[in-house]
Amino acid sequence: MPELVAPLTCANHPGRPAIAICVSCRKRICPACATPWEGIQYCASCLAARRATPRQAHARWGWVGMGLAAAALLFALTWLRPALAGLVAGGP
Amino acid sequence: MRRGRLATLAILDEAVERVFRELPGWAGLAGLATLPLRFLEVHFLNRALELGSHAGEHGRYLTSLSWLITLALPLAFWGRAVLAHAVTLTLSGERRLGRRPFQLRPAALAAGFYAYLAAQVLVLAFSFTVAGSALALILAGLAVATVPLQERVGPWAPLGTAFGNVRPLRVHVGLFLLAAVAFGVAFVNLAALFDVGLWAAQALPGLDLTRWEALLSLHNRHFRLLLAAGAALAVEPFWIAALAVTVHRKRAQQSGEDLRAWFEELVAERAA
Repeated sequence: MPELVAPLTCANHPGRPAIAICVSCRKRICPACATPWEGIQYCASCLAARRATPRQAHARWGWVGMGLAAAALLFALTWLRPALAGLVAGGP
Repeated sequence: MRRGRLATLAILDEAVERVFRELPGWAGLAGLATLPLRFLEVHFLNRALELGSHAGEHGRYLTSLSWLITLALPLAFWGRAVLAHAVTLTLSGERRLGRRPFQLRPAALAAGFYAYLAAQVLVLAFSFTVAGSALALILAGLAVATVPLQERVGPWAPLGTAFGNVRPLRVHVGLFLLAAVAFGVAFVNLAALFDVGLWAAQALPGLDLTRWEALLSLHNRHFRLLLAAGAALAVEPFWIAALAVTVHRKRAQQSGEDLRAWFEELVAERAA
């Protein structure tokens, strides 16, 4: 009788059943290959790549962009509050 | 059924149980860190309502109070982010947390705070619509609950990580409605607690309670606002924990972590 459902096996160990999918490369992985990090499963190679990746130049721009946007949000938040309070308390 | 749809009540049950049994200290820390923010918000609202139609003439005063609220935001956010991290760690199977919930990566904390600020602006912008403000509050909660998942800084990535977890919206709306009901119940209970306190104090001889009765009366707007702040402080840790559980369960379904945990449980049961 042919097997109707193909067994899901580990991408690195074809003889072992897969129990998870690496969230980074989407490969099926077995318990030996899966490493939970902050509650998320990674395969060994993706985890190693994450650790080895040097800080890229765009990360600095990411900080700058986020800092500027956060400053704008802080000002918006601080100025919106009294403006809305004036509308609510005093009416239009 | 592990692979079934996420159920609102099951998530709430799990969150409440975890907060009561494993994380009461972390919930207390979140409450303490949020205390200055809530008191300042009450003070600001009370002043604005006192000024009434003259509020517009005291813009600078209200803006200075608003700056104080903004300054209290990071501490409140940090306390709740630490709680969300503690919940995530226990869900990942950590038994002894120690000081680990404090060990949030600075980049994750900064990215989460940025997403939280964006959600706060939305809360204010949509404050005149019930559905809009509710959705914005859910996004603010998600910004806190997803701090452990924040990996990249930038103007867009943190928003994607935080607000991308808005699904399943059905569960988040359910949790929000339950939190709103719990807020009402907490408000009534706190009011009753102060009433009982006043009633008990009447038994003490020579104590003039006239002033206290006026201060702790529901006719006093300041007291009503303080009760609302107290009720929010009581409910918030459970809501944040429930959001963290939802986000974790959804990701566990996607990564297969839930099946692995289930398999380990089955093996343990068979061994026992």
